[in-house]
Amino acid sequence: MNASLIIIVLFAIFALAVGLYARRGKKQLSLEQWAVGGRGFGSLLTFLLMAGEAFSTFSFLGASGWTYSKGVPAFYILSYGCLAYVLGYWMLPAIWRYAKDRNLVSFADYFASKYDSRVIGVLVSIVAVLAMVSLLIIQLRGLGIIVSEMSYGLISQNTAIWISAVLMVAYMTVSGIHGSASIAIFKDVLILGLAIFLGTYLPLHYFGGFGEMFARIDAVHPELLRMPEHGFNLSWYNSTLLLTSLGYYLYPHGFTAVYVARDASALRKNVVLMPIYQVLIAFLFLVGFAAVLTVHGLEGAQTDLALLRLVKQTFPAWFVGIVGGAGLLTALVPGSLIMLNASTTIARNIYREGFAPQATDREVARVARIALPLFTLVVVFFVLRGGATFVALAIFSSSLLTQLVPMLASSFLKRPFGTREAAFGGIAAGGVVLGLSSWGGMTLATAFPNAPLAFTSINMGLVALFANAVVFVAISAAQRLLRARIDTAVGSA
Amino acid sequence: MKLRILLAALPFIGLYSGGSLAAHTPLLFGVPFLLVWNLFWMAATAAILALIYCLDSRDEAANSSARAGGSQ
Repeated sequence: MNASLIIIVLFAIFALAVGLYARRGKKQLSLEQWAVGGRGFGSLLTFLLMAGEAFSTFSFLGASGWTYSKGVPAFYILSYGCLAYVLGYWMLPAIWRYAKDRNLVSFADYFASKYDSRVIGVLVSIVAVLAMVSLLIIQLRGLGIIVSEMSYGLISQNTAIWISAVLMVAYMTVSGIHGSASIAIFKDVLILGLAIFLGTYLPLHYFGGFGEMFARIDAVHPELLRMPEHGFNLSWYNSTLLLTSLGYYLYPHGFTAVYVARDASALRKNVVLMPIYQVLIAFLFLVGFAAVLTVHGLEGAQTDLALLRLVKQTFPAWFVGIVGGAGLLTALVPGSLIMLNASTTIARNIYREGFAPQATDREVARVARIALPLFTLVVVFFVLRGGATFVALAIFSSSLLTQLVPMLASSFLKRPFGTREAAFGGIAAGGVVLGLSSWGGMTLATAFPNAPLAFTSINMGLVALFANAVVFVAISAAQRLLRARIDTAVGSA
Repeated sequence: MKLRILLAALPFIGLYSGGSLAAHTPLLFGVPFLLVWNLFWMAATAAILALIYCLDSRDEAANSSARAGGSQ
């Protein structure tokens, strides 16, 4: 027993209590109440929920870990959000209005309704659920690492994953989205405070100032302060920035967080504030830089531990416990939102649309509540047991989500240009490119051996998206042309 | 509407030019240039979005009062 363990346990109990208490005053939660809070969240709660979802364990461990291992290319993490928020200023109110008019609850609902196709709904749902498996795996793995590191190994990763999965299932079944939102309030404030503190204190403590820290890094590891020529170079940086900003809102749990807003203005205020909240990522970069010369021997995937190791070698156990507890909350908020969305998608889109079209809303709500623990159990199984093929498929699905960009973009037009068939064709084309690069070993360098480095370093995800967009536009245009020709032929006959 | 699109284009121009500029000047005042640049544009993005938000709410207020005036 030590101080950090006690504090982490207190954080877990606190999260459970807050999550369960969020139910107060609501006798029976309909599916709409449970999944999207009855669309009644004001500006502040919408902001906290969307910030809570956006700043996951990836931001907590990845921002500092990437800076520690790769240096300057990591800065894309600070920028892609800003570009996404500019797009979101117009996109989110449009999505929200459409979802409200048609009572949409899940991610796939949007695409099924816009393209007026049950098949699209079921297909998007399957991809979305698989993608959410991999997203939840990432959150649970991150959580396991944080809790076991920060409890000095007293809680094993597996125990941490089991306990937190049970906690999430408990408060999500009872309170639904209100549970995530209540925890997000504490988590967002805590993580912002910690990031600012760590990002200022650690460079000052170890180096006496920011300038001194960078001067020392420049003397020992100058490559970390310069954009590399190969690998993560300028064209990788720019293409990744484009890809990630376009795909920013295409995560099922992020997309449906839009539905919870009370009005369109709450969403607009939200995207005005979000870039400012991003500042916490800049402080995490500084933590990563501070770790470069003070934390030794982290290689490969272990570089994600940079922040945790530096905190452990600098601060007393009670403070380590607070950082561990904050890390726990950072995984719980997005993790529980993913579970919620997966279960709503399974119930509404896969169960009702695929198998039981006559199911009533109450039945769907019941199925969703049964699906939630089952989905979580499956994910915990894959986290603990591996299952490489399935996990690879889940990761592949999460990269497929970005391939919905052309479909989404076309859905905003006054007279939507894209057709169902074009959507299938485009996503298939993008999927083939992604599949070839992840399993076939294809890269731009092997496909175009004589092309310059600036071209061959482009992120493969963007190449896939480009192929997708070309096919999407081509098929839509061809169908439009054919239909026009048939119409004139009929008209003249 | 045109002004708003021009304003919205600024963060894209700013953030995309950062990488190329950083290739020539890695450090600025002893701090990585790209970090300073991206932080500046992060603040600028928030300011630009706030400005667009103000323009939009002013227009909406004008529209609704015009409609209210017309119906009387």
